Order: sequence, then C-alpha cells, then structure tokens
Amino acid sequence: MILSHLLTIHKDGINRASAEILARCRELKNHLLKNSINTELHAIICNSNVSLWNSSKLSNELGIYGVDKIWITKKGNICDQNKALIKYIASAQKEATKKYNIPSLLVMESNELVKDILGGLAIHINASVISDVIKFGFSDNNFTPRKDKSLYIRATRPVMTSKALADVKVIDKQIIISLRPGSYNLPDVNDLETVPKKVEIEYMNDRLHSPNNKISLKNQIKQVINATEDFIDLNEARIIVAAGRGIKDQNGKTLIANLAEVLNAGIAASRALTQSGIYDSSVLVGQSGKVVSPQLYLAVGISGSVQHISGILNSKMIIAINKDKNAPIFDIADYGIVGDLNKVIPILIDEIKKIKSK
Amino acid sequence: MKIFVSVKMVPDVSAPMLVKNGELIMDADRTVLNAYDASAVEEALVLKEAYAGEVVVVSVGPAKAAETLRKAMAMGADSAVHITTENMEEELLFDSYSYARILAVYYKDQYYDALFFGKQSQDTDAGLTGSMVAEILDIPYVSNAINITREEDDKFVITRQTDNNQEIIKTSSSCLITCSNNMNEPRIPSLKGIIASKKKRLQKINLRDLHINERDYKPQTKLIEYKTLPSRKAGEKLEDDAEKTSKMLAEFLYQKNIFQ
Ligand SMILES: Cc1cc2nc3c(=O)[nH]c(=O)nc-3n(C[C@H](O)[C@H](O)[C@H](O)COP(=O)(O)OP(=O)(O)OC[C@H]3O[C@@H](n4cnc5c(N)ncnc54)[C@H](O)[C@@H]3O)c2cc1C
Repeated sequence: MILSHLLTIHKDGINRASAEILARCRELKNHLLKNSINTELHAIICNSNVSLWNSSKLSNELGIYGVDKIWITKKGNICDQNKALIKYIASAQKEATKKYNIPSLLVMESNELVKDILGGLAIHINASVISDVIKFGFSDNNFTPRKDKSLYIRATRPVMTSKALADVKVIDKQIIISLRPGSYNLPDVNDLETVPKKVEIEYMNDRLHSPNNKISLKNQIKQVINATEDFIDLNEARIIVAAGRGIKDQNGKTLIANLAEVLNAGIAASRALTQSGIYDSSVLVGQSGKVVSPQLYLAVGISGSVQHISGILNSKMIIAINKDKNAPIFDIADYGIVGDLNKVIPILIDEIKKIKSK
Repeated sequence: MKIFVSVKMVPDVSAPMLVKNGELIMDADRTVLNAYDASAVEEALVLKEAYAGEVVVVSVGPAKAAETLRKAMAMGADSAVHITTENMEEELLFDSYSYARILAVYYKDQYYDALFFGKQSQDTDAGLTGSMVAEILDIPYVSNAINITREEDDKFVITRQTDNNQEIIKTSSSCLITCSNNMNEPRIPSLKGIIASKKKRLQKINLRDLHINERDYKPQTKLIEYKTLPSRKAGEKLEDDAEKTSKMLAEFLYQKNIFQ
C-alpha cells in the first residue's frame, strides 16, 4: 500500500507536526512490512523551495523517516490556490497508486491549509475522509488490505467541543486523514533510520495540476496581510503564553509581551480578545481558532471555556494564572496561581530573569 | 443578488452530557442553530442590506430542523428550504459526505451568486461539507472567511484567515464561501422578526423526492463508539501573595526545564 504525507518545507527543516506524522507513518509501514505487505511511504511537497533544499538535503531530511519517494513541483509554491493544490495532490496520489493499483492512506496535518482543501480533495480523488483526529490505525485484526483492496481505518476524534471522543471507521481503497498536531510524540532520533536510505525524487508534471483557466481567473489572491511580522509560529512554539479577557487593555498586552519575551514564547489569545481587536484573529486558540500542542501553555486571565480548552488539550503542560480560584481553567491546569495577573506577572518576569542569569 | 445559506440544527454543546457504554447521552430536545451557520446567515443579511437581494436558508434534517430555519428567517432570511428526512433512520448516521451530496443535488438546479456555509459544525467540528459541495459543483470556493464584500456587481472580495496571516481573495459570482464566527456577531431575532418569520415561505422537499440515489449519499464514516476524554487532573494550585507565588512558579518552571 501507499502511505503518504503532505508537507511544506522550511529553511531549517520540516515542521514538528510533519515529523510526528512521518514517524507515525513509518511505524505503520514497518508493521505492514513485517507482515509481508508491500508498503511505501511517500512525501508530497507543496512548496518546493528548491533553492533552499537540494536533492541531497531532501533525501537526508526525509530518509530518516523511511520515506521512499518524494513528489515535488518545480513551480515553487502552489499552496496558495486551493483548487491547484487539490489537483497537485490528486495527481501525485494517482501516479503513486497507479503503478501498483493498491490502496492508499494520505495523512495530513490538521491546520488551515489542509482544512481549506480536505473535503474538496476527498471528492476529487473519490476517497473517504476523517478530519481532525488524534489517533488512527488499522483496525486491530484487519490491518491488511482486504480482498477488494480496501483498507479499514479506525480513528479517534474529539466531538461536542471536545467534551467527548468518537471512534469512527472508514473502509475504502483511498482514505485521507487529518491529524491534530501533538497527537503523537516526536520521534527520538535514535529510533529513526541511522543510515537514511536514498529517497527517490520525482518532479511532477506541472501541466497536470495547473488550475484550469476558468477557475484561476475566477479566484485570485489580491493581497496577503501579514498580521504579525515578527512572531513565533504557534504551531511550532515550545512555549505559548496565552492572554484572556483578564489582561484588559494595551498595558496588559505589554505585560504579556514581556513575559513571552523572557520565556521565548509564542503569544496566543482567547476569543474575548480577538473579538475586541486587542489581538489579531491569527492568534486565536480554541474550537474556532488554532489547536496547539506546546510543551507549556501558560494561560493568563483566561476562564477556561469549553471552546478555548478544546484547542489546548494536546499541550504537554498547562499552567494558569487567574484571580478567580473557581475558574474552570484550574480543573485542567497542572499548576495554577490564584492571583491578580498585574501583580503576579511583573514579579514572575523578574524571578525568571534572576534564575536565567545565574 | 441571491445567496443561499446552508444551516444545520445541532445539539446544544453547552448542555450536560455523559458517555455510557459507548453511547453519548444528552438532552435530545436542546438543539440550536449551529453558531458558524448563524455567522453565515448574518453575513448574508448584511450583504443583502448593503446591495439588495435575496437570502434563502436551506437545511437537511428531521422535522425539528424547521425550528432552525424559522430562527434564520426571524433573523431576516427571506425564505427557507427544508429537505426533510422524516422517518428515515439513516438520517441519524449522516456524515459530511451525505450532507454534501444531498445539498449539491439541490443547488445544482438553482441560480445563485453565492452559497454560504458555516466553516464547521459545533457538534462534530468536521469542517468538510462546504469544500465538498464546491468540488461536486465544480465552482470556486473560499474557506474560513472573516470578511466579505461585493465588487462590480458580480464579484466578491473575501478576507480569509490562514494559519499565520490573512488573504484577500477576489472571486466571481457563483462561488461558495465558508464563514468563520470571527466575522460578525449574529443578530438576535427581534419580536417583529419572529412574527414576520411565521409568514415567510418554508418549502418542504422530501429527500426521497430529490433526484438522488440512496447509495450516492451513503455515509463514508461509521461511528463505532463514544469515549470519555482522558482526564487531565487538576494539579497544585497556589493561593498566596503574589511575591511568594510568582517565585514558586519561576522555580517550578526552572525545575521542569522550561528555560532554554
Ligand atoms: C461557537 C463558539 C466558538 C468559540 N470558539 C472559541 C475559541 O476558539 N477560542 C476561545 O478562546 N473562545 C471561543 N469561544 C468563546 C468562549 O465561549 C469564551 O467566551 C471565551 O473563551 C472567553 O474568553 P476569556 O476566558 O478570555 O474571557 P472570560 O471568560 O471573560 O474570562 C476572563 C478571566 O479572566 C480572569 N481575570 C480577570 N481579571 C483578572 C486579573 N486582574 N488577574 C487574573 N485574572 C483575571 C477572570 O477571573 C476570568 O476567569 C467560542 C464560543 C462559541 C459560541
């Protein structure tokens, strides 16, 4: 079978969520190979900054995950037009599966880029899809492709504002899954391939996925507004400092910025503050914003509504600062301080500085 | 300008719920108009007020879903279409794919400038239906919109939220847009609106009368069971003066190797 993953490459490497997904896929691949099921792991790259990454770097970075083949475009970035991206992935999947006429499982990161295309892609390639899962695998006793070459995938996803989990299954020849970041641990480098195998790199025929003129003319990007210039990507951040209504105003915002600076943290906000315009909606965390999974999520002046909490449950550690000792955020916090943030944060910043300078 | 808004009746997620023997137990009577769809309705009404036109709300669902459509009409939608699934057991099992296939069959024969959808539904958060419908109908679409304006009579200019920034996209009519709840505050229906809604047209179409084969909307995903969330235990909670607690927190962070 073909296991594949859609990824974007950056100057310094692949992002954390992709590493988690590739490691999980490698685990499944090895499991299948052990059971004598011919399996390949493919990576589909949608922003080929070829100038940054030559083929040996590609091979090195992805070979350690047991990637057998990379699909890439010479066109540069094709992520910014949903229909074009759908066609691109579809043609890579088609090429990959045509050769062997076998089932495929495509695993993508559950982020806005993917949310934009997921349903459309599933229709386009006639696949079944499960979105926003936190766990997936082959059904216990049926992980082998069935006689009609279909797969049985079982996945767990949060529902009802993350108040419950639902286990769902799909049976199909082509299946797509989107996975919440932080759902699987980052692999230990010692567990990966020590001698990365040579990865086959295939340049896509870019004619195949150029959007038909009808659509591209109808749908054009006019402008990209970079909300935050100099920021730490919340999808990648090790530490996130999150601000809630309790910070009140610009002064509070400055406090948060100072705290984030000493912690080298990304800054997030609750909906109370993105609605009031104190923070840009790009940093909203929760059901209608981002799902984050940092090592530490430090919630300041956030009550802990179900909608907010649903976006932070994959965090390794949650710490809350809130003046209301009954705030629901404390029910899920590993460590909490009951107190006025205006008093606590300035002292906290000083204490952190003291410890760091030692 | 004619805008259709697809709306869904969802269980009230703020209601207490309980998982027992793999089933989810909640008060079946507590249902609401999906919050993201409410934002889509609101945005359609704002556009209608600015540029004139017609707003039609459409829902696939059981008899009770009519309440949701009335609510959207009380907000100001002109009329409603209810694709009923009465006495259909399989309705309970519909997934995004089923809804998308059914809605696409209905929209295929309609004239429209835009189809609006909520970007996801509050109960499942799947977020698939909108882009599925766009792909089935082969029309351009923009997802996660936080602002929509009209330009030159036949174009929409849409601001959408991406992972780290916002994009402004221009699209011609006959497009599909999925709406974020970060674009507006849906209005609360006024008494006048509620009274007016009772006189508005609510067309019922039985799913069986829509020209679609049952196998064409057969759900792809099957529910196996519900489970409870692995619980996150509440940890230590410090209540003391700020001087002490801040110091202890800094020390705790240090112990946990947070500083690098
Ligand atoms: C469909 C839907 C989707 C939603 N999606 C999201 C989402 O994605 N993300 C999200 O965040 N919300 C979302 N919400 C909104 C959510 O329900 C809450 O309204 C919101 O999270 C509240 O934000 P908050 O905790 O900052 O504010 P509040 O609930 O007002 O809490 C403020 C907290 O600050 C504390 N505080 C005040 N002053 C101080 C002080 N001086 N020192 C210390 N503590 C102080 C208070 O004790 C209080 O606990 C959604 C709602 C709906 C209906």
